[in-house]
Amino acid sequence: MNKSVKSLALVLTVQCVAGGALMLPGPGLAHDAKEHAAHMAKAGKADYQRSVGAYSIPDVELIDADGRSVRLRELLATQDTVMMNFIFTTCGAICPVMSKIFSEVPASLGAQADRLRMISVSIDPENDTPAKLKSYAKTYGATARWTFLTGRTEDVKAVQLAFDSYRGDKMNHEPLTLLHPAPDRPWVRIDGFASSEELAREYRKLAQP
Amino acid sequence: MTLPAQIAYPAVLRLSVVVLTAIGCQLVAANAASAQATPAAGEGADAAQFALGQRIYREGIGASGQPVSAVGVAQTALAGKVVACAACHRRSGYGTSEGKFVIRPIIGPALRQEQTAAVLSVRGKARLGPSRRPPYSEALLARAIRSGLDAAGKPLDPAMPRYTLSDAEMKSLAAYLFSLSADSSPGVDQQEIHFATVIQPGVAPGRRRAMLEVMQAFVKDKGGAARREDQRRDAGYLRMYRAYRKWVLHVWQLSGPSETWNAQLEAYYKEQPVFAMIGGLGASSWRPIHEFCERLEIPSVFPQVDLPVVSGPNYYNLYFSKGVVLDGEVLAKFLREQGESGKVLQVYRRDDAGAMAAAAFRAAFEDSSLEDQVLDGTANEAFWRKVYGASPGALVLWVGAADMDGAAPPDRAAAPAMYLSTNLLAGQFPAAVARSGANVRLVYPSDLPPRRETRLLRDKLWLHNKGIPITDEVVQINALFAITVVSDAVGHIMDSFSREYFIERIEHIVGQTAIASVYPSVSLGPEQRFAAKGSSIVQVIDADKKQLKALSGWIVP
Repeated sequence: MNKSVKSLALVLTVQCVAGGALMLPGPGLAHDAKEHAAHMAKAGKADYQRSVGAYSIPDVELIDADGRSVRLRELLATQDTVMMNFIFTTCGAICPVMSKIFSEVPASLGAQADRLRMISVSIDPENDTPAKLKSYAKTYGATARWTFLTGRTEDVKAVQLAFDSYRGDKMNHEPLTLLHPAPDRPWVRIDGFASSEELAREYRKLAQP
Repeated sequence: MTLPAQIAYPAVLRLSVVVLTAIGCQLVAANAASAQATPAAGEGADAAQFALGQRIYREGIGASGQPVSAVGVAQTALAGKVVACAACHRRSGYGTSEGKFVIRPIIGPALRQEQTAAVLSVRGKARLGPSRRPPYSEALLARAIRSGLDAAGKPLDPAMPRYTLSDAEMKSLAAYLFSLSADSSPGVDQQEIHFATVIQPGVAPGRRRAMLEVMQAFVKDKGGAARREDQRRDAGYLRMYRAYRKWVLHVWQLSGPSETWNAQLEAYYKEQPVFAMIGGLGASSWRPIHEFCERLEIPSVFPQVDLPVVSGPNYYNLYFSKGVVLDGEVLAKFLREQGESGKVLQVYRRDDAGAMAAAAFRAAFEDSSLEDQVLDGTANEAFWRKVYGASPGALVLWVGAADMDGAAPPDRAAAPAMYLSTNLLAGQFPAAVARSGANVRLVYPSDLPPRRETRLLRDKLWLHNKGIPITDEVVQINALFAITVVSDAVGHIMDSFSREYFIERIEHIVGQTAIASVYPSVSLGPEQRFAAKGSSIVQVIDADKKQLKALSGWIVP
């Protein structure tokens, strides 16, 4: 599964570093990437990598912060644009930043935010009960369009494997955001930290047919 | 234009360099540790400064009591606990890693040292490469924290936030950072590392013996396996020899009423400080021991208790589970989801464990029709007549094995399902009542054969090889697990004897420990202090063969 995803993926590498842009001799440095890199250098932001891939969604039932059962495939079959990440509520270094960024995306999008659906899947499901997710969501001012999911350990693992984000232990996880414009379109994968403005840019690009 | 060396490499190479540097840094730090003086908890102004520095470091709360604010990666405005230094560098200051992000150690000795690139030679010896940055002074530290430039003037990783701090806050924080790991931990000297196991009064002698036999055999092996490491240390400079300490395990037996336990613990500790507590056995509330460990900042690793402290601040006490509180919550969820149990009657003994289990069950069951029956004194015939006279559809019994002697239902055909806690039965099987034809079900914090047997095979082989007969399987296996976890963590920290770093290592390794506990699924993490988060419901099929049938999967309330 993972191999096929990788070969499918059209890899677009963008590396920007604070203090001066540093281009790596990566594959496929398209015009888009250069433009993006220049933008990044000006802003002096951290680095992230953008790639495009197709993922096969496992047919699992997860549980939302209200304790309701959610069939992941149905949730993702929406015509809205999905923005998804993986977090756990006691994570110290990565998740607070990712969640803060997610919380700012609607404001960055402005009026365009009404077609946005954000999903955060806990990778520590035994600890992250619906009640804990609910209080975590409140901390980040999550609206009804931001769904937090937990579930059975094996189901959550299957979801991580499907999106090539499973790293064995929750503490080994990496920052990742997945964007999905519509059921019949491929996913855009953002590895690393992209700011809310950058995510908004990626979202707008997807919104254009 | 000179670019900082570390960002000129591709990500993978860059990561390895950071890791090597971090290792090198700790190597140097360990040498310096004993030479440093701590400006720690002193009198008056010093103490206030230390407290402020510690609060900024651990909680992200500044001088005015307001959250500290900072700008994080991707220009994200952050404040309070998420930008507390401890959120990433951890309470120890030894740093951590998440995915490819390596967060550097910021303990005092590391900051005060010149940092050099570490180069690993083929013989595995660390020697020092070119200088990376000079030692941090208070002023350089302030520049790094406020504007993100390290002591050499190079930009720090963008993941490190840039903080807004007043001069007074900055000064307090710098003093606190320089104090981290400046002194070695109590309970460790040049030759020995001391541990204690605490046993409350009222613990059955068989359980006490079962736990101690395992732990003492393990410690004996620990010493026996050393190939005169203490002497080798003098012959070379390699870190593993420097790190070697002989293990000494003390048994701290408590006696008398619980109000006197704190004084007893302090007396034991005064006589011989310990680095950490391992295991332990309790028959009543663990709170006095919990608070002692929290106050003196002593790690306590997996005592076997039914009544841990389940709320309030806790950093140093690691528990297997929430004990009877977890039992109450799991059973409530099971009965709620199962529905149609008819009237539920809850019987509990009026003691700490019974009352706590009953309260947890009532809160989680959320059904006002739940009835309570409190047991004082002996559970005699009249008592059970009253219980069955209420015609319950389900009986929840928060009582011990001794209370179950007369609990056989008067009418087998109309007998209600009867739920008991394995924890409260303390290793004793309710055989008599099960044989009477009652429908006995257990809140059961483990899995069933054959999976359980396979999982515990390694533990049992160890016990067999040490010539230890299985007398109390749960106590013995959990004791072996606790001491193995401690051994793995101590092995990892080498001579960085920081109690906080030790706990952080346990958070990482506990889920991957080669020796199993009776709990099928354990994990910890920052702020997580209960390793097993769920339990299951089983039915007794055959009382004599102790045959059980699963009625549920793993229930996490």
